[in-house]
Amino acid sequence: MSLVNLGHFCSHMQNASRAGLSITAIMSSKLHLGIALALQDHGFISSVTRGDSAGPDAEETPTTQENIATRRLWISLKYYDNEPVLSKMKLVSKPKKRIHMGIQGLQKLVAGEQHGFVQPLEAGEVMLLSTDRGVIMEARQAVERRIGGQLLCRVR
Amino acid sequence: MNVARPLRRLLQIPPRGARQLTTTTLNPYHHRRTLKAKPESYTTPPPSPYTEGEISKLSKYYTDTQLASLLAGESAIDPTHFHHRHRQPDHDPMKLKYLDDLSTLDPILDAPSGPQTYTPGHPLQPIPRLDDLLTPSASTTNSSTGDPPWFHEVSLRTGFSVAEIRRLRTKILASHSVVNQTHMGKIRRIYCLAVAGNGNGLVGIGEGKSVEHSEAQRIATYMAVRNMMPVPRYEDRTIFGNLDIKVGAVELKLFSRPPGFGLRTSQYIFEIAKCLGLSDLSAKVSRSRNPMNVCKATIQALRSQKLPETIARGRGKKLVDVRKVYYNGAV
Repeated sequence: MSLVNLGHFCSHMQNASRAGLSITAIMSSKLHLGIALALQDHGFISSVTRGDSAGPDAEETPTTQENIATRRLWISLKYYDNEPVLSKMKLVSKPKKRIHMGIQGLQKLVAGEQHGFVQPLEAGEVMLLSTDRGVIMEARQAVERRIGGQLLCRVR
Repeated sequence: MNVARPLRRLLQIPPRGARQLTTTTLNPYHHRRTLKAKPESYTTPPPSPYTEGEISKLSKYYTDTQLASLLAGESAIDPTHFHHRHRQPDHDPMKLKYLDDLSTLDPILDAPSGPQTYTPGHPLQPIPRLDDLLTPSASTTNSSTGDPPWFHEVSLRTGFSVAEIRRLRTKILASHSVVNQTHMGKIRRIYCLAVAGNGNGLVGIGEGKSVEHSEAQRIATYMAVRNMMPVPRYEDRTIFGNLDIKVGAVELKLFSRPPGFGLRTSQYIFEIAKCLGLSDLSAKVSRSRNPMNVCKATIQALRSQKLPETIARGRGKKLVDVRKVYYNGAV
């Protein structure tokens, strides 16, 4: 799991939103796909499509040894009332310092209190974490299921 | 039942605050058929005169003379003629319903009357100037109250009444001297920054510069009242969420606080919050703390608040205030 590439993903989302792009490409990886689908579930982006470096695929293309270097994930961004819907996306765990949190800490964050070195969640802010259930989850969902995990990024 | 006696409809008025049971608007595209009065037989009994109780109910809505003339008018009309009245069909449901009184000329919207001679290079219709409206002759000035003259001018420009302008909370937050080097030498002027607000959702800042201190203060306050804008408040006491912005060299953090917390901020942010009508706020100013720029940063931060409704609409999600829904506003 590469947090370096996830860091690039976060920066690129912010830059693309500020530039007002409608679709943008990121590196295709399992972690990025999980994060993108979670963002789509929470309404930050409208679609996630596989594609190559030129653009999204017109029809489904299998990933093979020949084309893997050019495979991308194409994400379409949302804008409302002259403002981007996804304006800030920031890593929580850094490559040099991973932050794991259990249910107690997550409950505090979701309730609006700081825990450890992690700032509390603002109104409408979403924190994505990787859990041992095999899926990227949002902090409030993890609290419902009473599980913790590694905090990946926060989006608002 | 109440076609021939319209006043009867008033007796069946629903109580104040009764719910409108439908949100459907009136259909402007009335079919010709529906405009004709429904055929009623002449064997319907003539309408009975109003009873004492009904007259007393009606006297709640009308004065005695009004009621007498209305009853006289109703009795003068033949019920059969009233029954056969037809409204001219609305052939154009999209026509504008004029609310203006077109019998008097509006100084801005109406073309001038009288002979107009064309001079090349100038428009035929003189461009209306707001200053013409602000001269004392054009307006009804009440100089006996002792109000400064700029009250009336700003009242005309903003649309607030002079009484409302008198009740506004204003304060000079920053003032210092500025120098301009011209061919005549150094011209020293005083700069003032003022904040104005009604304590209930409107706030604005204004700047004024003049050779005299009092004049600069007057200009600053006038501009502050002119620049007042509505700012959203959560529960009318604090801001929506925490704000973290950088304006110029001022790094400003504003924190939303629970009820009863108070305004624990520096003096400039305190005054702006008081004028706006915030009661719970916390702030941290780092990097530059220049008073003028802190004021400008605060106003910009307050206007940059993101409402939960906007967030919800952008994401297509429902945002629920847990404090209100789950804790019933107790926490």
